[in-house]
Amino acid sequence: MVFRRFGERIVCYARRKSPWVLHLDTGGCNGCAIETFAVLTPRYDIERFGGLSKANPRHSDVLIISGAVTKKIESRLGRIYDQTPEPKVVLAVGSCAISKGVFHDSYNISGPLDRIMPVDVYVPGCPPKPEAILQGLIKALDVWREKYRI
Amino acid sequence: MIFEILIYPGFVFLVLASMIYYGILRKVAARMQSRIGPPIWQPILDFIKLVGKEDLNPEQAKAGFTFWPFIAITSVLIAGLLTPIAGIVPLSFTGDIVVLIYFLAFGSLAVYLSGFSSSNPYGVVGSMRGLIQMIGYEFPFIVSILVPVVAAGILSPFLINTLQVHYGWFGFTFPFAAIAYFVSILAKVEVPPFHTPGAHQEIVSGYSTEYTGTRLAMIELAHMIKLFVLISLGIALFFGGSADILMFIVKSLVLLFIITLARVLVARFRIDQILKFTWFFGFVALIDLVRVVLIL
Ligand code: SF4
Repeated sequence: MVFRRFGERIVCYARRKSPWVLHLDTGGCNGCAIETFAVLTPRYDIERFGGLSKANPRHSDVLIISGAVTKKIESRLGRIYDQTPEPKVVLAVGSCAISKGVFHDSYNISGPLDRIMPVDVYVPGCPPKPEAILQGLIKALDVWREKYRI
Repeated sequence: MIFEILIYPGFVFLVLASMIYYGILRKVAARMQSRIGPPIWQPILDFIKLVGKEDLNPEQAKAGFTFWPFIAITSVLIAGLLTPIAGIVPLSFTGDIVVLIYFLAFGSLAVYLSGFSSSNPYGVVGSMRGLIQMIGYEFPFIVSILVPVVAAGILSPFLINTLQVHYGWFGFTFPFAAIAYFVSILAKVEVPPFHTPGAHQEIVSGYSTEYTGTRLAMIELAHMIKLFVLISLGIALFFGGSADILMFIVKSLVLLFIITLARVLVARFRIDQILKFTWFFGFVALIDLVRVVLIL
C-alpha cells in the first residue's frame, strides 16, 4: 500500500514535469495560433518545463485549443479529444475559444469550446500574450495535480 | 556475473545511462539553439509519465501491435549486454560480434514492424522509409565493423577493446572505416540528417503514430539505448577502447557532442539522398577493408 502510494506520487510528479503539447487551431482569425507558436519558439521555450510540441494527439498530454470552434471541426475535435490518452488537460486560448469572441453571431460557429469538451484552464485575451499562454500551461499542470490527486 | 548482467554494466546501468545521455543530448542541443532546455534527467521523467498513461488500442491494429515494442527493447538490451562498456562485457563468447550486429538490426526491425502492425497510414509510411533507410546504413555499418575485426583477427569486441587499449587507436589506422561507422551511427539512431522515418513535418510521428503509454515509452527507450550501445561499440572498435569508467565517459561524451552538433546543424535528407550518401560511405569503408586484406 505504501509502495503503491509512493509510486503514484512519482508518476504524478513526472506528469507535471513533462507536459507534451498538442496545439490545435479550430478557426478564428489565427491570431491566437500565431501567439501559441511563439510559445513553442526558442524565445519562450517550453522545453525548460519539460514540454515538447507534438503534432500527434496520441503522444500529447496538454491540448492547447485556440480559435472559435467552427461547425466543420466540431466532430473532429471530439475525435481528437478521444484519441488523447488519459490523463489530459485542455487549455482554451483566446476569447474565441472561451465565448466565440468577435465571431459570436457568425452562421458557422458552433459554440464555445466548453460546450464540446471539458476545459480545465481558460486563457483570456484577443489574442493573449505568449507569457499568458505559458502561465496558463503552468496553471494547467497544477489543475492536473488537483484533478488526479491521490 | 549476475551482478554484471543485472546492475553494472547490465540492464540497470544501460537503461539509466542511456536516458541520461539522451538528456545531455537534448540539453546541449537546447543550449546550441540559445534555449535553456530541459534538465538532463528529463528522459527519465518522460519515461515514468508515459508508463503511467492510458494504453489506447486502435480497432484495426494487427496482433503484433501489442508485442513488437517489447521485442525491440529486449533485443537492444541484449545487444547492450554484448557490448564492452568501460572494459567490462557482461556476456561474452566466441563470435559475439555477429550476434551483436543481428540484435542491433533486429531492434530497428522490430520498431518498424510495430509501425506496420499499427495499420495507420502514417505508421506504415514511416516504417517503409525506415526499412529503405536500413538498406542504406547496414552496408557501411557492417563493412566498417569488419575492418577492425579482420585487422585484429578476432570476432570479439571485448578483445578488440583490450587490443586497442594496449596498441593504440584503430581509428587512426583506419580513418575511413571510423568515419563510415560514425555516419552509420547517425543513420541507425535516426538523428538528423537521417530522421526521415519519424519526420514530424511530413508524416505525423512516423512508426510511433498510433502508440501511447507504455509501448510508446518502450519505443523511445529502445531508441535511446541504441544510441548508447552504438556509441560504446564505436569506442570499443575504433576510438581507442576504454579500460576504466572515466576514459569511457570522456570518449563517449565527445562522440555524443559530435552527434548533437549533427542534430542541430543539418537538415533532413530525402530517401534517395540517404541511399546515395550511406552507400558512398560504405565504399569509403571498403577502401580500408581492401587495405587491411591486402596488407595482412
Ligand atoms: S481570440 Fe482574437 S486573436 Fe484569437 S482567434 Fe479569436 S479573434 Fe483571433
